[in-house]
Amino acid sequence: MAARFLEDYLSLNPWRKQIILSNYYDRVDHFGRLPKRYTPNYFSIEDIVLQDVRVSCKFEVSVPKLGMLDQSADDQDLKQGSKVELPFWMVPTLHAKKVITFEIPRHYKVNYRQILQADSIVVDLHKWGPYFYDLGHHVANLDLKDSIDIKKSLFQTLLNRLRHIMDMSQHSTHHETVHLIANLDELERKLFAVGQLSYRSYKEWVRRESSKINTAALVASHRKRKFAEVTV
Amino acid sequence: MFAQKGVELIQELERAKDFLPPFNEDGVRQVLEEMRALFEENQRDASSAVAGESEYITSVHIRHCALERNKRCLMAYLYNRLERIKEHRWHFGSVLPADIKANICEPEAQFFIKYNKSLAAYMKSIGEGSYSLDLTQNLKPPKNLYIQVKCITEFGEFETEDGDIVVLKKNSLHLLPRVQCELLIAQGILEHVS
Repeated sequence: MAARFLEDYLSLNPWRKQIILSNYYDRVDHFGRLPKRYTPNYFSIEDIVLQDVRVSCKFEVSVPKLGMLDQSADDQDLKQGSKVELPFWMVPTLHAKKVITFEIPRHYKVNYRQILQADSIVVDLHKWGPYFYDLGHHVANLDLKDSIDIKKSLFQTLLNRLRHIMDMSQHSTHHETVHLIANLDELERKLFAVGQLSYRSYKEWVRRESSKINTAALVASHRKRKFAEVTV
Repeated sequence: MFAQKGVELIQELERAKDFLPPFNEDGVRQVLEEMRALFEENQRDASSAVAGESEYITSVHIRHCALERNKRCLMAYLYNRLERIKEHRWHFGSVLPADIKANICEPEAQFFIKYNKSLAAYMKSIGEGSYSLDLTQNLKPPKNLYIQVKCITEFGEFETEDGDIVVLKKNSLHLLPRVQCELLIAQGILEHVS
């Protein structure tokens, strides 16, 4: 089911995603909100932060008065043909208007894709970019020559690694977790956390503790913080 | 680089995942300042483009991009804070502790009051007549009417609906009706012992 979901997700344009996700995940959550969907939505904190990544672009036209974008040159204006490291959020608009030629970040290029094809599980995706899948998705949506290949590669990588993640999340104790998830990027870490939570809930149900009322999560962390402040 | 301050606001929220940091009025004001400066420059360039010089159009596009980015950062900042305030209602009840209240700005406090009112009105409207359904109770399926609780914080005297006064001293055990103590357990005053 996860694989089908991913296939739909990666093959559609961004604005079509909402329709697909509502078919898979209609349940309203505990507080009466729609669950925080795994999709780059406008308000998503993660999506905003990850788009700050710098990518290298070459300007095709000269841009007056915006010389400050290029830190190395001291011009008032931006010369045509200058290579600049722009934050990623500028790229979709400028690419659509043909102001820049965008160079794909190196982790999504052919050689890296071949490495992923050879063996996805061993790769340290956290080092390749903590937001490998999300950024790859944004890059692939820019209508480049390689777009379809990038999407296929992302999809296949996640598919290969998914079993490994599921396995780890269902069978790991609390202490080993840190070095197990060191290789995973943020999306995979979320999946891992969800897996662990479901395993813990199951164990709780088996021990008949699922009807035990607990202190509300925010209240508990609030107390801990107050206690820490007072003692410090 | 454009929109640095906006991203800083968002990073503040990302760092504080399970509590509400104080409302960063300064940050918000700086972002609005930057947006105003960008907009004025754009206006100047756009009017000169209309007048005939068309070379400024790309700068207008780039500044517009930055404006949209700033707008997105601000909106996401405000929206995520409101979502957390809504969560606070379900965890803390309708009265927030003083130190959390200090982190909320005035319009957010108004939002919280209105949200409480909406929630209360909705809960009242569910049954017929004077019966109202408390949605914040029974979040897990109840197994029995009375539960064994242990007091972990000193609370003093607590009056149940039947009129019995229970003295909640630290580490004292009581057998109380589930509906009465659910709120106290959620707030961390009692602990459910099975």
